[in-house]
Amino acid sequence: MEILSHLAMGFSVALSFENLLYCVFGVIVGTAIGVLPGLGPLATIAMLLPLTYTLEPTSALIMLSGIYYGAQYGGSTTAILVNLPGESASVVTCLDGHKMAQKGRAGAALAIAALGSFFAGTVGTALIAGFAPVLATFAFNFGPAEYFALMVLGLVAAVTLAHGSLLKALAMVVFGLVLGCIGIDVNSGVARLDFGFLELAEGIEFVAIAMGVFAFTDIIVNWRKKQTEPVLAAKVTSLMPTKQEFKESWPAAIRGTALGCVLGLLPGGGATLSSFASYTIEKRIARNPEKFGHGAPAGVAGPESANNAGSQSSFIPMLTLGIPSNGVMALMIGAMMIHDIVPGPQIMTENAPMFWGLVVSMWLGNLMLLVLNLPMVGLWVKLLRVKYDVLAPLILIFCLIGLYSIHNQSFEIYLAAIFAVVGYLFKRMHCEPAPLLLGFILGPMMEENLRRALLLSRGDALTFLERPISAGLLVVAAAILAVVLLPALRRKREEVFAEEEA
Amino acid sequence: MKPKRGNVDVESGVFFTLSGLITMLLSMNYSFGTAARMGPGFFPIVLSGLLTFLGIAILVSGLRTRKPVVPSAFDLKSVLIVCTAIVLFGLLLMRAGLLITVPLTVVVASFAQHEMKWKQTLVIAVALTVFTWLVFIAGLDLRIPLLPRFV
Repeated sequence: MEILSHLAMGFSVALSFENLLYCVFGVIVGTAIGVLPGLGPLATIAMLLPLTYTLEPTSALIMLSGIYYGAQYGGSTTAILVNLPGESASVVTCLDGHKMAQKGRAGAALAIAALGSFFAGTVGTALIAGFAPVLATFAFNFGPAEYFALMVLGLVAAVTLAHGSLLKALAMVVFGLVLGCIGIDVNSGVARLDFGFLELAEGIEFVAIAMGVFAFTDIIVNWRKKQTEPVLAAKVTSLMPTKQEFKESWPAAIRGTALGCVLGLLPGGGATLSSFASYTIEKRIARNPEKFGHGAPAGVAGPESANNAGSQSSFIPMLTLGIPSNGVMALMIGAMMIHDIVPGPQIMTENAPMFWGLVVSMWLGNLMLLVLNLPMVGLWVKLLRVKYDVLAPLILIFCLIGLYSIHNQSFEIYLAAIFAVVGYLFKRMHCEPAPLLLGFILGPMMEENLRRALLLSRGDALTFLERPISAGLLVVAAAILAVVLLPALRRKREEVFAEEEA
Repeated sequence: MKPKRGNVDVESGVFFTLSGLITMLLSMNYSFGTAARMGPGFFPIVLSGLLTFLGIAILVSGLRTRKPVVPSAFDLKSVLIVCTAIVLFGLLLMRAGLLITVPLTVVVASFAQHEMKWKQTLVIAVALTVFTWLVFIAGLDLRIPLLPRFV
């Protein structure tokens, strides 16, 4: 069995002292920022990215991934005990998890969330190990037309899955694509839209946009609010779920895992979306839906499994196709590029130890998280005492030092200040920033593939429809867009999102 | 303090339309090329056209709606304070070094909190300065000056 030898290689890489250490560090930091509301994995990874310059690429990726999936575990703790989403993927866990805690079942809710996440993490990791090499073989046949079509599909999917107005989400994607055009055009050497700044020759630094729009905008919005002490629901007593709770949970965990695995593959998907979708489904198919919102264990098990499965499977398109499905994955690509590793189908052969080491470390990390989160939950809850007055300056300074150290210059800092204002405007105008980031990341890749595809076909745009794979992908994209724009379904979609927000 | 007027769709529609038009104007300087040999202007011009179109569509839908969503008040004070702190950090770090820049930035930014708490802010500023010194300069050996240049 080839896969066994691959996994053996993975274990030997992941179990080296150094990599194990970075894995532990990653999941601890991940849990901590997951517990803390107002600090998400994207901002944290962006902050820590400059620190990985000096690390081995494998260690760096192991640590950064640990932060991402670790945050999914930590987020549920805050949601259940304090009724605050520690992380955006845990918003729906508040609904039933906190109700369970109020009924004195806090321990059971935490255990269900952690066990569900661990199950989902294991399945998600297995999916990467089994599916990624297959997809990579398949992807070797992809030409520029296929890549372009795939990215169009991804952006369309991201738009339809975004909250709020469809038109605005589309506009945000296109705005991101325009921002991606800034810098020197690789084919002609013309500096485009750079307003005369030499620093913009290589384009806008992604980290500057991410930190401005997420971290700095958050500080502007949140710091002025009067702070209230978080109120803990109840003491955590027994961690054991009852037989009935267990019976209600496990099918939900399996469904959530399956859903998360699929949605994580989609660009724009990942942890947050998976948890929302899972909650909606669990509520629909439940025999007694009136229990939801009043402490239904399935309402904890489903979304918590889904968000972890989604966060794992979103690694697949990044590793095999080089296409990031969300902002965190884009930062991962950035981390690889620093070390001259180009993500794509060739990664399985050229960087095999890194790939398999990462896969195995993810499973080990999930195991560590189970241990970290269940018996030590009391320790994490203490973190919630940290006031935003302390957190805000910490985030600010860490981001600023990170921005400075990208190129040892202040230019990125000023860019981030501009994007802080832009991000604040978007927040006021009810525009979701996530599609913008995705557009920005995919923009240059889309332009390059469009250019190559049209060059090969001598300018015939029909090439996208003549090649079966690309035609199929574009048809699916068109179908999604058409379906969402139909008035009846549009109302339904708004209904679903309204429900989630309630 | 809180304006009752305004409409998020009209505002964002105007924002996207203007962004699209400005981009198109700037991109006119680059050659468009043909489909087979795309010039550097091809992609930006197509995109800015799309952005303008979407912006107008959002604007129109915002003008037609009966129940406009009113945006929250623009908090100019917080925006100015946080951005001043960010820019200050950028200007000072190379010249004044970490030991001066970090506490100063923290103090300036702290005016953005609900009400300025001097004692708490000063403690945080000092603690964070020592912490960043240990982590980034002593620990990670980043090339960041510690002291002002003239020392």
